[in-house]
Amino acid sequence: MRRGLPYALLAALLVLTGLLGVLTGPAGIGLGASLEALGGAGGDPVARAIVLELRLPRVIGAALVGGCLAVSGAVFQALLRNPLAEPYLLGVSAGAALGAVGAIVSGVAALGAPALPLAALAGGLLAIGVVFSVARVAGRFDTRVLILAGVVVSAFFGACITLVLTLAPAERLRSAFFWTLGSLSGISWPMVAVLAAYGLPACLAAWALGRNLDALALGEEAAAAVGTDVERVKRSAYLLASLLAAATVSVAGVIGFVGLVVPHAVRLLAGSGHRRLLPLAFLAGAVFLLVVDTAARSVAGPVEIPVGVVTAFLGVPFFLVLLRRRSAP
Amino acid sequence: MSFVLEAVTARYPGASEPALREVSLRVPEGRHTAVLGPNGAGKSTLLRVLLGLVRPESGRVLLDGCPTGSMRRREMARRAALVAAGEEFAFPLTVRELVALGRTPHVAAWAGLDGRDRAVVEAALRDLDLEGLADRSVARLSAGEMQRVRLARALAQETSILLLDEPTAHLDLAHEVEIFERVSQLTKAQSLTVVNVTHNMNLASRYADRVLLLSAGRLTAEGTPSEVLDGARIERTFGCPVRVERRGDLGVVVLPLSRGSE
Repeated sequence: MRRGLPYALLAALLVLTGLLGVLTGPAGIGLGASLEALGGAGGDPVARAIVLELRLPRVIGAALVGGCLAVSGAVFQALLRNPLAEPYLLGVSAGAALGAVGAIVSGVAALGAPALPLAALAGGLLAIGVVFSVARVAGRFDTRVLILAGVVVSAFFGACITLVLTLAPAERLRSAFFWTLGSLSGISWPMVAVLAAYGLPACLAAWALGRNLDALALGEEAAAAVGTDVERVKRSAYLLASLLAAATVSVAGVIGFVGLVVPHAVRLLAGSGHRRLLPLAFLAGAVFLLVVDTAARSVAGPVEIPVGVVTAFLGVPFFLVLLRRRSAP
Repeated sequence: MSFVLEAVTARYPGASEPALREVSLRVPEGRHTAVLGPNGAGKSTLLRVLLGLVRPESGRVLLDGCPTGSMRRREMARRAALVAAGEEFAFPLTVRELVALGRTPHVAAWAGLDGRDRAVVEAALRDLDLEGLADRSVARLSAGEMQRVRLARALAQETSILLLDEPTAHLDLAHEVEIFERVSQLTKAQSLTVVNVTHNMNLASRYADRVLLLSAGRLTAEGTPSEVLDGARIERTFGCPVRVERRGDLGVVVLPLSRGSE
């Protein structure tokens, strides 16, 4: 029962923050009207459309993005055996951002709703492909080479983004720039469906690697000695974590911090075993990004604060308090 | 169950000299075999070749008559466990979680531990007197406790072979003796086959049944401790003068002398 408690608490929080997210917004739709719209029966058709077509997909999308980012970060930290690892370290975000910025600046993004996420996904996949093939030498996958390759590819794509932005026409510069800050405002039902169909199985697959990720924390040789197929686990972990990161970036842009800090917070509270850490990190990441997004779109009235700013404003103090409390004797 | 090496030569990628040269030996079943030799003699490489972590350049390794080259990692990990001295922890697990990793080769990757797995883990914790530490983070253990935890993990693997790579490095005298005693008790109680790479000749001679001596990648002597631990041979192999005394109850006692004294 005690071991189940964190899951129950986080699940309850997820439902509560989800409801709060659906009820919050500039349109001033009352509690009754919102619940009526959620219930699906009658009511004001405008309120109904706002709740069901704008707020609900955004809330579910935020939860999925937060959950996937937290799982991706936890897997990267285990793979690289480095607590500073995060989903964007290895170039996925830079590749995706280049795809998206390129699509916005060239006008491809204006062709239709799926064009932007597809361009971002393509950029992310390109970065994954380059980094993966560089780090794979003679069938072995060297995580030190992986970090270096990732950081260098990241820097290269970053330079490409700067170049594209420099050459961009002024009216497109602003929307391209805001995309790189990350936002959940563009999430629609089809994106939620794609993210769920793709992110949830990837998270489950990561969870299935859980014990092997624990073993990897001991070092590659010790992991092999307890029967882990180290090369296969490293490969799967890299691909799963990168694909999760690419998927979230393609629908929501680059939202920092969730993938770095949520896994650490969960580790401090619930321990490092990955079979427990990964599901808890998913739930905690979902709750965290939901709270952050709801705050981002409500605190400053009609202006939406970039969600990445709020993740840092809410996340840093929380994490520092946790760190201090836990490291005290 | 036991290992046989047939003319094994092994080389690390990029190394000019092989780490093992034409080594042939048979690891006796149900016995404690100590592997002695100077630094760089190939002792650790021998363990890695046995476990299949280093592939021989030539020659064969057999486990119960089957070549290990084609064996999967899980299969190997159900037969032989490794206790090394220096793993680091990227993220601190609890003692129980670390010992439970010994069950890795016995359960499907996605499955949880069942009742029997948990019972094996608890028994391993009990065997090494770790029950009181079970929920502690491994980051907060002393070196001696940590080594008991590694032994417990190896026991939880339920293998009949235990490979130890300098299991008492960094341990003080009392903890070193404790590890040797526990290994020898376990060897007898569970009739394990033990291959123990160590630098402590005195404890090796007291607790081991057999001794292998490696030098520059070659197997230079093999036999009971009193056969192998001969003053002239040790001096030749290690480049250090020694006095060897034979004490019935303590086995062979090797005293290093200063280099200029004889």
